[in-house]
Amino acid sequence: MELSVENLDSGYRCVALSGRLDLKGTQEVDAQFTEETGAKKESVLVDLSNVTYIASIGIRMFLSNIKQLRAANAKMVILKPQKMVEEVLKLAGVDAIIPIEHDQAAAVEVLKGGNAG
Amino acid sequence: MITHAFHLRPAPVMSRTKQIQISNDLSELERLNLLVEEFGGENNFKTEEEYAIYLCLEEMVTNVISYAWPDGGEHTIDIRLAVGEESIRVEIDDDGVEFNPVEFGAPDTVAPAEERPIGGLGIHLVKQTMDDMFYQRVDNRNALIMKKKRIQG
Repeated sequence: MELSVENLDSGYRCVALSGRLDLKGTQEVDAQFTEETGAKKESVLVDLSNVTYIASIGIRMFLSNIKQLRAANAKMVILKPQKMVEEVLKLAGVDAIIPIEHDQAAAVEVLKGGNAG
Repeated sequence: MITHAFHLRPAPVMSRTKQIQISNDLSELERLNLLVEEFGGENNFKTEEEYAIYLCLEEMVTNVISYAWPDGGEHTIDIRLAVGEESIRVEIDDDGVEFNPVEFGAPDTVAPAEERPIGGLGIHLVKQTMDDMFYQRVDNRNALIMKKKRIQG
């Protein structure tokens, strides 16, 4: 599991994950992901285009970080999940809490707009 | 999506099977993943089929390893995979404490993040991605059978 961070021209940060968010992959990346998302307390994009699999442990990682962000009135938007990953996120009801977008410009607009939540 | 009760009926003849015995250690999930990868490749699993098989094994075996033996100790879990023309079948068998995931209630996937309880999400996802789930307690053992219909075309 790999994580990289890009500073976008819009001023937001995009955290890109790559690999499988199964038990092992999530354990590998959890601390770093929390450091780059929830702990920063700033609105952030999370690019999942290179994540091929997510299980409940990976979903819990997202939920615990969005809690921290919402407490700081910040947002998270998930960008470009693969088909099955998006389906599982929706089955878990994640899309009701963390918007899912397939276009970076549209995702940035969601981060800019309105109040968190 | 499981939309009906699973009735006990004879298992159809499966053309290919694979089985493995693992110990109650979460590091064994790696070996299980390799087995699914190999089995999926041999039987031309589609992405969605392979995803569902990975997910049901990871979620259910993690539950067994984490909760089936409250007193710890070394135990084994038997896993069998079988594929026929119409479905893929996954069996998980262990001698841990009785636990029927079929009757386990659905978690709240609608509540705000702050109010969602932890737990139950994995079982919920498996019920949504597999087509059938059947549980039996036989001779002080948990026997769980899950099925995924083959995607035609």
